[in-house]
Amino acid sequence: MTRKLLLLIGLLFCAWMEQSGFAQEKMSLQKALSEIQRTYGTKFSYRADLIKNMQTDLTLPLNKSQPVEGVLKRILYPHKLLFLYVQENYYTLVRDTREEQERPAADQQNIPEPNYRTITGKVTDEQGRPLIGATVFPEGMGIRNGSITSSDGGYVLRLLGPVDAIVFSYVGMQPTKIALGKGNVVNAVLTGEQNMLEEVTVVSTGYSKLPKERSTGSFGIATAKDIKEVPAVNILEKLEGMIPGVQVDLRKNTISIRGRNSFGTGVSSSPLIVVDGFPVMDVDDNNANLSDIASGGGASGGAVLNRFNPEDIESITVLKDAAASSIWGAKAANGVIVIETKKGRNTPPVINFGVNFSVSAPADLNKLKVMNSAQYIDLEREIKDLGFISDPAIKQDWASFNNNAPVSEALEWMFKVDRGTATAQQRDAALAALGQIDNKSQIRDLLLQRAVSQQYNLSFSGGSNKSTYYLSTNYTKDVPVFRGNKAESFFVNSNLTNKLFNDRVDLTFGLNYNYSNSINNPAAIDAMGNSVRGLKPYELLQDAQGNNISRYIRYTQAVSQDFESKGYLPWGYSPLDDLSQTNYNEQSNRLRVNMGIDTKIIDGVNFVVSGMLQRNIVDTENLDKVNSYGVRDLLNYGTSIDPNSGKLVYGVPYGGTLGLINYNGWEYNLRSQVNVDKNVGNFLNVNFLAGAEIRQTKYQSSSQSRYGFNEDTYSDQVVNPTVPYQTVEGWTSTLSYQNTLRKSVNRALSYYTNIGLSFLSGKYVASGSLRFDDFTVTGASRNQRAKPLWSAGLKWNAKMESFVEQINWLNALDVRLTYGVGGTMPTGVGNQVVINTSTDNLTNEQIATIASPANNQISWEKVKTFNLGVDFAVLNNRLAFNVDVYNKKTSDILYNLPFNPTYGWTMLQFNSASMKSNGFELGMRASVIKHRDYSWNALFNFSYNTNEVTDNRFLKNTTSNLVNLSTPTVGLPLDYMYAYRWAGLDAQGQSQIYDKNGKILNASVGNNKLTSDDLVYMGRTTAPYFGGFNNDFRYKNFTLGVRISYAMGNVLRRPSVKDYPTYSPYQGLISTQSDLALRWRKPGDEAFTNVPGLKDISFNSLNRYQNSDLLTISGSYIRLQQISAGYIVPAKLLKRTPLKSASVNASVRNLGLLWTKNKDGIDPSYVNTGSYNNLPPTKAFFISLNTSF
Amino acid sequence: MEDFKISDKMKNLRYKTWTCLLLAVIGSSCRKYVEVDQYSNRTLKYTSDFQYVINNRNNFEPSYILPTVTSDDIATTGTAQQNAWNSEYKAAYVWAAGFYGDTQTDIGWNNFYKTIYTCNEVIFSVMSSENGTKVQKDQIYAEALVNRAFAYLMLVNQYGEIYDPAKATTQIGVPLLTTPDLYQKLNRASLSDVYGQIVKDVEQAIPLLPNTGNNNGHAGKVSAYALLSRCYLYMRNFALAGDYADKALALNSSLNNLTTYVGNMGKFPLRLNDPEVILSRLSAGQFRAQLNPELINLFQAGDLRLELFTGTGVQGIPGRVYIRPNFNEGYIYTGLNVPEMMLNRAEVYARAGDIPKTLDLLNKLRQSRFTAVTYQDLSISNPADLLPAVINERRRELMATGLRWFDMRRLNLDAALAKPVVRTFLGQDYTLNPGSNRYLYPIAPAVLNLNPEIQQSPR
Repeated sequence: MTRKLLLLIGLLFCAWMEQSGFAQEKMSLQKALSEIQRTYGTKFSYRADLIKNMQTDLTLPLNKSQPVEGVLKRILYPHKLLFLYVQENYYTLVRDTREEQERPAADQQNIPEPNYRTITGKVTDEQGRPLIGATVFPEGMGIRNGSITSSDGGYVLRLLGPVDAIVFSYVGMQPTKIALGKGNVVNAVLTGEQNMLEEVTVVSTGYSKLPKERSTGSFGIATAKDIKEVPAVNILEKLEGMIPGVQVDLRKNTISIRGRNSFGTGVSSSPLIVVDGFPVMDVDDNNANLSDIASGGGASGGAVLNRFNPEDIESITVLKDAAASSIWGAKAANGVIVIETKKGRNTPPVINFGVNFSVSAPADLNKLKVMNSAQYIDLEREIKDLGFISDPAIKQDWASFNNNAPVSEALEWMFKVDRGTATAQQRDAALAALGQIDNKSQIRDLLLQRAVSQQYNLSFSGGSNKSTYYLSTNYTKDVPVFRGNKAESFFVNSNLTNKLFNDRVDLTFGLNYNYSNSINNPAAIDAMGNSVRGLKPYELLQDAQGNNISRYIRYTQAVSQDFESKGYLPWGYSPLDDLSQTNYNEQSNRLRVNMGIDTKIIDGVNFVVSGMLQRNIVDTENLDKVNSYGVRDLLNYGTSIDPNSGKLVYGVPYGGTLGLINYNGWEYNLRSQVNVDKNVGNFLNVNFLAGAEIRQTKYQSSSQSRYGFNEDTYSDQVVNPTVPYQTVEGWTSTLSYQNTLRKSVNRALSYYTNIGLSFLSGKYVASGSLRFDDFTVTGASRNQRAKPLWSAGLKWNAKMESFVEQINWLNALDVRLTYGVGGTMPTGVGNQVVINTSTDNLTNEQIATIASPANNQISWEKVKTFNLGVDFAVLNNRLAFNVDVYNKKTSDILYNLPFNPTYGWTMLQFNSASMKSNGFELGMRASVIKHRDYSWNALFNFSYNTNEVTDNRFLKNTTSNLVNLSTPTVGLPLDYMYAYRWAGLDAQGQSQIYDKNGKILNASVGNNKLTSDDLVYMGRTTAPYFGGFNNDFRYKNFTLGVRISYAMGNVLRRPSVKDYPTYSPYQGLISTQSDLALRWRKPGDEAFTNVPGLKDISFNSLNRYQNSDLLTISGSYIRLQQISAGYIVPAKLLKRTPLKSASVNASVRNLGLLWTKNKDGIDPSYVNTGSYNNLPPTKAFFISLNTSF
Repeated sequence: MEDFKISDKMKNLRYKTWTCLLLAVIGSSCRKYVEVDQYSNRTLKYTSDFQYVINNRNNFEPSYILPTVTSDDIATTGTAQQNAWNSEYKAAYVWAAGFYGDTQTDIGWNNFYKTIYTCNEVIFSVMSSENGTKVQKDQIYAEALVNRAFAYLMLVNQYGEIYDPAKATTQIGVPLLTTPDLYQKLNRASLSDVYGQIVKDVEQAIPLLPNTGNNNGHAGKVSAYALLSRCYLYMRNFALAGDYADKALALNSSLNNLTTYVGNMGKFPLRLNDPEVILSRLSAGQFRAQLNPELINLFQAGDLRLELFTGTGVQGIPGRVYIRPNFNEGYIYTGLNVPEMMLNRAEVYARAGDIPKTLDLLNKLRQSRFTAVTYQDLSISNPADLLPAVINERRRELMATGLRWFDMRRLNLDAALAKPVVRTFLGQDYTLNPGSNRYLYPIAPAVLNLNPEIQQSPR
């Protein structure tokens, strides 16, 4: 297979080499400029309508040895356009108006009158600072007769004929014309350019850069400017609502492109992330502890993206359809995000310095939907009265001591009365006092703090015509709301380019380093959580004297204090004390180094060798000091009393515990590629690339538990985990001992080719790509591993057709049509038995588990994507639309299907399942108001995506279990939701539901009497409709941005009550949800409440209430994400400073909802408001300052 | 552009050649590039890979839980406790026609067939593995045979008919898989075929095994003998059952003296260090329930098995509960051990009417089960009392391990000992008559639905 492919590539390659026709091609002027930008790196700025509908002839491919000026002259002058030099390799295009004025002048001057004159002067900006490199030319003479200002802004212009005026121009400034009087000194003051400049769009696939006109695929682009618009540290927040089809979940830190393609086993749904041409390395370790290392949970797109300094990002291109992404092969099934970092330009040195500062208050604890103290005590009383909790003072007779866990203070008072140690009056007084206590203010003051983040960014860039550089560094410090937590990170980025050997060889070098360090302390989160360490509403952190309160958790106070008196360590827990006693520290170092050599073989044919080396080193030190509750509890529990001597026997060495996790990953990529860009005759341009690449990813990781750790001497004690020790309760136990070592190596090999044919100057474009991927997969044979993936696309630039050209209101129209096959390689299964090895801690033997049996019926999962896109613009390009419709069919989904356990496997992977999905995307850019002093630009995105399982074997579950299921079901989307039909409570306070005939069933009717027909379909749980609406307003130097995001059409369950005691004796924490206070208590309550009562509560009753349609609410919302205001400091004010420019931006984020469909006032993104982590984020205030020197 | 110089053209040609060459080199050398061996994710290639599989106790230790539930060791009272049970425990306790819903799994069935699959993979290909000596391969092969035989013996005594030497060729057994083929037919083999395979496998393994394994998770000759002893006892071939018990005891006859652990249960040995264990097996999970008062009454005062291994007030369960798992990493031991071999041997002597030899063995065991103060020798004069005495000792010694269920089954064929079992559950009475089809476990519908050729157990 490989040989054949190689031969094919070789033949194609040689065939193109033989082509030597350099023909002229007719194309739009914009496209010609794109080609020039691509070849020379020359940048242009011009008014959007300036070159509209202009056609030109351009010889392709461009010959880089020719000066760019020559090419520009050839294509621009015939259109009466001038190009004004701004900086090296940067031009402004303006209309040449001299002809109209020349004619009358010529009429007047029948007699040539030689008028040799030399004009001198100085060009400055509004602050009087000299403008270096400004273009000065006599009106009507063209730039050939012009001059350029020197380093002091001065110029000398020799006039050869009569001239009325002199034109001055400078990038970013208004071109200015000054009439020529008698004097020979003309000084000019240029003012800031206020017209919108539009840059040529080039899309990057990571393998090549292509003008957008010549690509058939569906792309979404965010530029550096777009990214800078949102000041958040998180890149995902920056992308939210910006690109149609891209859905961002900030809470889960994930990003998805065009929904889900698969429900297969072990198939990731996150897109491939490519930075500077190479995929970003994942933390690729199946050890659960290590996967936590990547913040945001493993290799989700969000976590990977945040390893890059947002300030360094030049552009983010999202490859959405098959034609755009199939060049990336098997990894691209979920779309590709291509990031280009900033490169230096051919400019004098520029230093940029920026500061971002943000602050947000802790979320309002009163928004937590929890009961107040009095309500909670009332619930405890009822639970106790109903006999769910027994008196902890009563020892179980087989236990050697009373090992009951203590109950809360309120319950203790109630039991005291039962025991006769307190009177009912004393109890009621105590409970009344407890009911007055609210610990929220102590939690806020003592466990929470203001979240503050600071970012400092410094970059340095510039270059000459032979080399460029971009160097940047960034320091970010983040202090979250939870006390005892902080994070900092540091970035260094450098990109260098060099032209060697007469510009025949381009050398690029890039280095990207990121260090991050985070310190975690769980005390604050634990105190607000529902674990045994969670605080009840009346449990304070400090007493009136300011002493930290500590409580016993494992055993009752009497028992614990008895042990303490025998020499055990203090056994109480205080969240405040623990703030300084646990320290979970993670430090990561990530380095990427890349190098590329681009050699021109002949004109139009380049050979590129490039490589990337990546290293990730992550070290985690989880320290629980000896005084932390966790360690004291471990030590105490492992201490027994010798029955003979009465001495304490320590089972666990005295000291802290230290968990060490080290991860060391490295990856190299090596790629060689041939790029061909040639013309055939004067009707066809061929853009061809072919290449091969190899990749190896390795990691090595280890984790260890250390006991008896002393942080002062940094030493530990050796333990033998195979030797059991006796616990305080008399059982035996062994120390949990983690000592894992892992190493993994994976390789991939790919061949790929891509061809783009552009007919008749781009009126018709056809593209195709083909790729073979081969991976390391244990147990799979070569023909199972290597499969070709391909795509094809067509594009019709309809505006170039004569019959469309005449439609004046239509400024642009093109139609794209693509189809392709993507795929996912099965991992971990194959035609041979695969085993996983490890070590048995007790026997020290090497052991293995059979992970998968030999299964010959395994191959790739395939996704066939069809995309139809239309791009058009109207109203002088002020309103531009991109519309895409797509359809994806996934077949051979690898799924764990039930298998007969008699063969030894209850589940076996087969690829046979199928699903389909489709969607619609609309992107709209509008320039609503366009004026010199003020403007309004708007960006609106709308996306729709849905999916459906089409495999007939996934029959709908016929039992009422369907209510809780998420297993794929034919005819339903993957995220379906069913609910019980709620029929209120019965006279006993228990759930009732309607069956399919409308008959009311009470909770005593078993689930086996119900079928799925008795349920009602509620809808999907992810929003099928979503998007964003961004507005930018400008008035002179002030800007105002408003960002709105929305999601609609999904449903979700409103959490009401969580853990009712459905069996007795009840053990564990009672939930604190506020709905519990609404529970049924006595007959008659059912008239006004739907929350089941505690008495005779059963699993069915609670489950049916929780999963009823009553608690299903709409997830639709419109959210005001951000308002930002900016001010560009007028140059006048900077006159006496060394600053070239300065701007200030202030933003407010997380402004809350503008609209929700549900009537309960619930924010659908943050429904589970019983716990702090799910509270909507509070308003965050950002201030950022940017300056350049 | 048009005026290319000759030398430029030459240069171009050279570049072309180099480029083509470079591409070819990069492309063709990589055929084997991706086929790199993984560190912990491997194929079964070397003999050591098979050794790792055999070393993994998790592949062989998991066994059953339901025989404890269905046996008369348990007699639950208290509606709350009974209601809290899993549905399959509820059904098994009353010997219902079916134990499982359509989608429920039968953990006992699954565990043993998983073991059988693993053993089949080893047996199928270990002899052709690389880098191993004949001795190593033989031993791995033999261990797999013993582990497979153990699984079949336990399966066939749950789902198969009660072995009757006269009818075994027509009695229903279990599907007999001896290769790792995932698509073979699953018809139930006859009892004689299944037992035949067990005996054949263990006999084939014995000469290839060391006397004892590296630890009691590994099979040695001693475990093979013990397994055959249990097997022949269930087959009512008492002579051989006794012979193999002797052979096993010759290699290991250690007993734990329980007096050592009074007030000192923290020192009670875990299974790998327990000298009594001959082949370690663990229950499929925990089952805490009230022990049958009839069983409790069988214990004499001072019997440390009652004192140390049972407790009251456990999780609110009324009556006495078997708490030995608390000292055994939470599991019930269901494997082969020394006391069982002594009791097998004793039963065979008892059946032969040999009073001194029977009492000698029983007393030897009992001595290690009582404090010196309370210990008294058993004395029996009537040969007819011998067998009941041995059976009662079995009930005490093997309490709550599920082995009682297999004894209840086989004793159906001893007219004197076969009697109906009666129990009350959630207010209803249930009776299990001798010879009832309810002595066979039903096969889970999920298993039958996937392969209808498996026959449901007669009900």
